[in-house]
Amino acid sequence: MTFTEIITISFLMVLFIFTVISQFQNSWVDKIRQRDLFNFLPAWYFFAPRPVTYHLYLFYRDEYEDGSFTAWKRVLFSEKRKWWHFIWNPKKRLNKAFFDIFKDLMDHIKISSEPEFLVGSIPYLLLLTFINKMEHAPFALRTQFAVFKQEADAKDAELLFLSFVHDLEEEEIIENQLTIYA
Amino acid sequence: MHNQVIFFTACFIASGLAVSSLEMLKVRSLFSGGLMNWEISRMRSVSLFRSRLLNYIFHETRFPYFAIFRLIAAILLLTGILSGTHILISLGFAWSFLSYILFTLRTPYGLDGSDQAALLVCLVYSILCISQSANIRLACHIFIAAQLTLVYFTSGWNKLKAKDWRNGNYMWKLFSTSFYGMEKLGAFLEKHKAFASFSSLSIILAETFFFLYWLVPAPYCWFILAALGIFHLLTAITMGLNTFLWAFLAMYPSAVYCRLLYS
Repeated sequence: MTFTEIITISFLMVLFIFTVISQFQNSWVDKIRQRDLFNFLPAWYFFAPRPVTYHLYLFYRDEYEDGSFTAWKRVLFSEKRKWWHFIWNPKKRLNKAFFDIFKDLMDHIKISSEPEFLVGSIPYLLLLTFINKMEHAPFALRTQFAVFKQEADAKDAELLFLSFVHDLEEEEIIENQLTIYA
Repeated sequence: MHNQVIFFTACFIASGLAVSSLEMLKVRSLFSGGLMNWEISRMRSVSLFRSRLLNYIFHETRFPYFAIFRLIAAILLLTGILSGTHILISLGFAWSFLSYILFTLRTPYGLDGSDQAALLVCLVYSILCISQSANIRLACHIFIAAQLTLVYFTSGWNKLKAKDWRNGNYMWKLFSTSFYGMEKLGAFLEKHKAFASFSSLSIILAETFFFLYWLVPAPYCWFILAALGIFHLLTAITMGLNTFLWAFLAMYPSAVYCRLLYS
């Protein structure tokens, strides 16, 4: 075997061993995966052990100057399954992104529910900027978003997360946050 | 045989990449100021994300170029396949690998198993295509085939351990969701729980015992591969997981190659 062959084959073996290790679910595997910026270490669970068995809804409402709120408005992420989705399904990314961001937000809440920590977190800011870009009621000054969860076999949805109320000009705050991080 | 394997893998990767790049262009608002926007994602704690170079590449205004960059990888692969030019295919795999790496760096959200599978295939095929060594080429094919075995075993084993997967409850609930489901199929499975359980167990057993394709004689090994290939097609149709189909099928040529050598 040549030197190049030894190096290349060793690399593939090490990579394979790490991908096997990354299939286990425990805290030190999570630490390894957190350092895997390039996503080399996959988790091949495919909806196991517990798949998504619920609907997740994102709602927002606006607040007027007198303190009254508009009705909740739902952000539509998904659409009914169409036959062409097996070839063309652009909204799939939007759904997955929303799920991932919300899961990350819940993980942040587990660490701390301090307003400053939460509002400055990436998942919160992503949802807030996304909501800011939605169509808002004329003359509304502030906005608020909420995430509801409804199990597939449940009649009612439960409130999982209610955001703080933010000025609609809140983009300035996000800009400030970006400047601090930069 | 070796060239045919590269040919089919390049076809699957190019198809997946072309579809996913065009889909990105279609939902570009998701990336420019949307849930997958760079301006906020770059605030991650790693200093790499605050580098000027990455900020230049991923800037919101340049997002269409980023999607086109991915599309070029698919075009390179397709041109290489059609013209039979090995160098274009090699370049196509390397370009695809780079585009997947950049995509991964851009945002941690919205990525799925198909992106990870395609990234690994592109990395390994980049090595395979530039190498003249028979040992390296064989190691690359074995890596992909072993990875495919790991994919199904991990997924099958984790489902097997869950009671609600075995009795079909998760099956109908999953298909009843708006994100991954299909309303009519979800309702059908809820009504016919025995069928849901049978379908669920079939998937679990096919995935968990996929590794038998290394052991059983032909033609049974091809039945196992075909069954899982059809499973990907069905998940694409029923769950809309279109890019999964291409990314995981891209692992099959190496699996077939290894099994033929083994025989």
